[in-house]
Amino acid sequence: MAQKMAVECEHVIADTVEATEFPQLSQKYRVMSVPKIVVNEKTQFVGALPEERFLAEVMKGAASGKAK
Amino acid sequence: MALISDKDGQFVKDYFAKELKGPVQIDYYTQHDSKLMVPSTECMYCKETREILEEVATLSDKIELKVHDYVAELQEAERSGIDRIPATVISGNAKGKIRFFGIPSGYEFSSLVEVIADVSKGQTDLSEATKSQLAKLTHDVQIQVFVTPT
Repeated sequence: MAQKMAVECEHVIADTVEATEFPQLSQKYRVMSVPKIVVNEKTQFVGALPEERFLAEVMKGAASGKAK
Repeated sequence: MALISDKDGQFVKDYFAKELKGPVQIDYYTQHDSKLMVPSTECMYCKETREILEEVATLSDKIELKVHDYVAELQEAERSGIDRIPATVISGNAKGKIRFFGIPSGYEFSSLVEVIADVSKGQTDLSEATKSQLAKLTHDVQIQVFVTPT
């Protein structure tokens, strides 16, 4: 879903991170189960969401802070 | 075919033949193979990731793979926002940025194949409502999706 959004929108950066290869990053965001999604550092959720709800989280994350 | 089975390879090849429209570039940032192993700097799946990408690149002549040495090309890597390896950047007709950190195996392999097709076409099956919401974004949004290779 994140990747599709990046195909459609110039402002979206879609990063897929393999959690076991980057344990420090996984710890930083407290990844306990996957998929875990982090939008602009602050907004976080776990599990696959339907398109509308995923979008709502992305827009919330966009409003809450800046991309790294 | 080493990491991708003949059967999967043929399936993806047929899929790419049907789906790919424009060229897709894969930039892969890795480290040189070294006989000397330094535990703290050793990249866990750099070699395997490279093999997967090399095999994927043979499945369509629309895909071009460029392999970069992360240390030697640090400045270019930083410009692309690459701060760890293995890192894979998929570009072509995507408007935003698409990156993979770590090995795209298991479920992520299908995700890689699908995103290559979407990037090639420059369009997706997202709804018009989603696209018009995204068009309202005025600054960058980074979406990090943490996965495991199962």
